[in-house]
Amino acid sequence: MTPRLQVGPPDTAPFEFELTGAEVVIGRAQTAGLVVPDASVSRHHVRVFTRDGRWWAEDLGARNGTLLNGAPLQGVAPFGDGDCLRLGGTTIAFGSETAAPAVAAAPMELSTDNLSPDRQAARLRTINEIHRALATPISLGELLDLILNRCFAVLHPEEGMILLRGADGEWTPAATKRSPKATGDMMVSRRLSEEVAGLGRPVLVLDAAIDERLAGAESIQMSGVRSVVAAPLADAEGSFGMIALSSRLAVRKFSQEDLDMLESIASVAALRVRNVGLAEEAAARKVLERELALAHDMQMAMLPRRRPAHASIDLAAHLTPARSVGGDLYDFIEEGARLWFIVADVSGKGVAAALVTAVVKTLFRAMVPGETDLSRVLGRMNAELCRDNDQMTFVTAIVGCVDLDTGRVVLGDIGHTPAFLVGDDGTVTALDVPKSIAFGVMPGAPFATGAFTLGPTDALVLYTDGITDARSVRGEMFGTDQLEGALRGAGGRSAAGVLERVQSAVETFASGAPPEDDLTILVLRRRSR
Amino acid sequence: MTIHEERVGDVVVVAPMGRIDSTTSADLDTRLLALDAEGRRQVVVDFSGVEYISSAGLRILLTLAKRARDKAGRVALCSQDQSVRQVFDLAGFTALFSIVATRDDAIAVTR
Repeated sequence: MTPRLQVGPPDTAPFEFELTGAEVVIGRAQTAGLVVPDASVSRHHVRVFTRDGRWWAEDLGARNGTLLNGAPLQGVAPFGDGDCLRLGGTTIAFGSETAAPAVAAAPMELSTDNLSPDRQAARLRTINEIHRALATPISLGELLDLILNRCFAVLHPEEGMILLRGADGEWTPAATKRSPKATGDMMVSRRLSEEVAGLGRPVLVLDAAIDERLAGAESIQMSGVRSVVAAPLADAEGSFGMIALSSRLAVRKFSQEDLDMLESIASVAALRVRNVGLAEEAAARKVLERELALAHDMQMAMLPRRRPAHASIDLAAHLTPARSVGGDLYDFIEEGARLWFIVADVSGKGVAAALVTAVVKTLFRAMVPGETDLSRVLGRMNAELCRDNDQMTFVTAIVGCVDLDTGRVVLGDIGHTPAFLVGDDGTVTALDVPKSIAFGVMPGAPFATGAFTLGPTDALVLYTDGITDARSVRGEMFGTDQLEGALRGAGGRSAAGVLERVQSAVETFASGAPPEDDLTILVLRRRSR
Repeated sequence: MTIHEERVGDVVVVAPMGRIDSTTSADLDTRLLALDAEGRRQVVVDFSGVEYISSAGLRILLTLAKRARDKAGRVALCSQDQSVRQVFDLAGFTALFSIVATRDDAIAVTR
């Protein structure tokens, strides 16, 4: 029978080394025949060799010396069954008592049934302990760290990693842990993650270089010959990740028993990881939904609640909010016989856009009263919206003022979709108003305005691009042509009638597809007195 | 939306394919910010594969132009079809960008 050395390093699990050759140099250098992970051991510390049918130990001049059965080893001394060497913090006993699996041995099929009652009990204790530890409510990150910590306490690897399926479907490292003595980086090769996490197969790789299944996996080879043990994290729906532990082969070689243990840990951990992960996803969704609800409330609170009081104005307006995008606004202000109005679209979405909408409304309300020059109003609004606008949030708008006695309208088109005039007979005219650049982009930009007369039977139609960009279930866009078509059939109708006609045309076109952007229409008519 | 990228000397040509809307514009933003972080200051955005751009997409291009202005970079847009060009026209942004007909012209402008 081949003699063996029982190696007991100070910080890592004990292991066995078979004396297959005629001699072996023991030390912490990678060039040593038997590498021990112990900083207090010299690079080449002691030599064990056979001569004349006996085994001998020779101190190689190690700085901290060597003890043989408690006495200093000087020069060469016989080394046989029952003898024990001490190198720094490491013990090396000569003997064939099997405490740990042999380095050069093939993996043994070790099931729970073959374990001694003591070890079975110990394993159950460990699993129970892990079960309890994982039951405390914690975040996903903390849970993964805790799982690795337990794996380290039980299986003593040099490195450990947990991979989970990322948003892109790739197996992505979600937690890592290394012992202080580990060298190099832990790498989990694509082939390993495909085999374990992808196919849900636990793997014990004894030696990456000679294991046929993973022999080509470069990242395992590049990080040196390692003992790797890996188990999938799986639930009823299949595998969603894996735990992988590795050590340099010379430091720690995992056994089938270790793999069984890791599988047990992984199956306990999987359910908890899944539950905590789902809870966090739900919480994130809830935050997002709260934010959307808040943005929606802010936006709706911004809209005027009353109709204009003036007897000669017929105004109808409606805003259909989209679920996630948003930032439309309409408002009007009555000043005697004049009515100021605005339809605006803020680029962006959520609370950020809703806040800018509030700013636009506030600016409009602050700058209009007492003002007679529309282009000055527009210039001042732009100056404010350009201030500190690093995100380049811009606002397109149609802003105008109608004199209700004369029907004279002054209008500014600030980077917006063109307004339409609908005659009594259904003629539709796109208003030819000078265009200005959207608010918030160019400080000091000029704002030209146009003027025209709103006839007693005309309807002025303002809208946002949510209308023209509305999509059917097949992905086609509503477009300006169909909008004009809807308006042609609305000649002579009241403001509310025109609005309804456009809304129903868009709804029919979208046929139930949820709006991707806010839809806003404002229709203005003079009522004959 | 997928985004193709080609490097022609110091110029990076970014070609988004599909719709640049409120969902996909974040991807374009990420890509352009990565180029900025790399120190790429000469950027062409090729619109030949773009069917549609929303105001969210326009905002991303405005931030690109703003970075170029702040850091002495050069930006050109090319190969816009009529509907995309119209979105730039409507917002009044045409004058803010170098918009040229072909990719070669755009590379020449940013060189």
